[in-house]
Amino acid sequence: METRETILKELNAKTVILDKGIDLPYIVSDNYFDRFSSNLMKVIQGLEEEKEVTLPVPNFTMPDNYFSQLSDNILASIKRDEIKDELLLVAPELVTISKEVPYKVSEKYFDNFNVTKKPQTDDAKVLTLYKKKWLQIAAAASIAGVIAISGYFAHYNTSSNDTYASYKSVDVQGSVKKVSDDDLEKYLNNNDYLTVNTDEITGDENEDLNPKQEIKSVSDNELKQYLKEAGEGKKTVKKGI
Amino acid sequence: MHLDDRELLDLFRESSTKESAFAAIIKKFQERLYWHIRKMVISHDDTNDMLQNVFIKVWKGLENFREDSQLYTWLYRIATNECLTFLEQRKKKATFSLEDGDNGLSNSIKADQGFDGNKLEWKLQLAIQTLPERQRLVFNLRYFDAMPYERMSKILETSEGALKASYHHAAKKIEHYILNN
Repeated sequence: METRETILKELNAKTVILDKGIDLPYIVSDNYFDRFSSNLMKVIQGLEEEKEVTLPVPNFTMPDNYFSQLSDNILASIKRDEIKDELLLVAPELVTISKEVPYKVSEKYFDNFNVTKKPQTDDAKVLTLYKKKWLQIAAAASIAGVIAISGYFAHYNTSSNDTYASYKSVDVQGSVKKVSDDDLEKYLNNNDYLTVNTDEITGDENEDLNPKQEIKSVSDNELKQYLKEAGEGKKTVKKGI
Repeated sequence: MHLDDRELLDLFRESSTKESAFAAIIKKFQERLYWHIRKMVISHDDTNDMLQNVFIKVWKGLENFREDSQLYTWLYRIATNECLTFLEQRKKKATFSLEDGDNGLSNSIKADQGFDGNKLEWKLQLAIQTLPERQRLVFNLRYFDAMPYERMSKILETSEGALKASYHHAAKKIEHYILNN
């Protein structure tokens, strides 16, 4: 690095004007630097006083949260403009219509709003009746099918071997052996409809079967026909043997 | 005191502050949800019923809310599902009674005390009722609530592109209705 002396030597060598040295021509008062700090402080104090004067007077008011909401409000305004521009391109007529909703609500409604409704006990979804018709038709058809098939089997299987097998599996003799004689006697005495009245049957049949009366009521031709058929029957039997 | 959603959720999870936190959640969102529902179902009584149902569901489900989405988005989704279920049931009832469900909503608008058929605001409401339900939802969220497609996509679980197309179709249909009625 070049020193001050080197620079002066260089200058002396090149020019005569500058050979007297490089004292600056500017003048500064003698006490300037002594008073500098106190003067500066006075200026600063003066600025502070000025600041106090320019502060908003209490008469000026602004809404609460004005500055905290300012950015939101500006953004909202920008968005509104965007929506307006969009609408101008698509349906310009709608831009002229007020966006105020014409419906009214009582002023106190929102002040007095409370959740007074009782919550429902369950959150079960209400299934709609006609949402999927094909599903209902399919369900109805399958139920009808199940009923028809079970009905068919119920009807035809009553006389089938399955039922017979179930009866066959009952050990009647074993069961009867377990019942005492007294019990059986009591049962038979108290259930008259189970006994067979042979007297009545034989009596009726005897009344109907009176050979003399029967023969009198049959004509000769019928008798001949009977004898003829009976005779052929005997012959056939003989032939067969 | 203004509490953000996270603070409200933390308070709700504490048994000692659960009810007060829930009351604060109701206060914070009731108005936005009310108008979201009202624009879809028109009648105040139906809206009130549904708003009650929405908050009952919120009470039951908030403890398990996983915060994958914002609370606001989750509440809107519940309210939207309530609206769609209600309108579906209304349509079915109308089918049984041989009425037209959408005509029913138009009639509800005309039955409103303040209804004035000459005013554009009311004409707009009648025009909106001619749209299918989901398109109606998209239009309301975008036109009245200035909702970005991104957020709408989370609520309606539909792609942003599809929502944009749906909104444009809806706007054109409504404009056509207003110009021709």
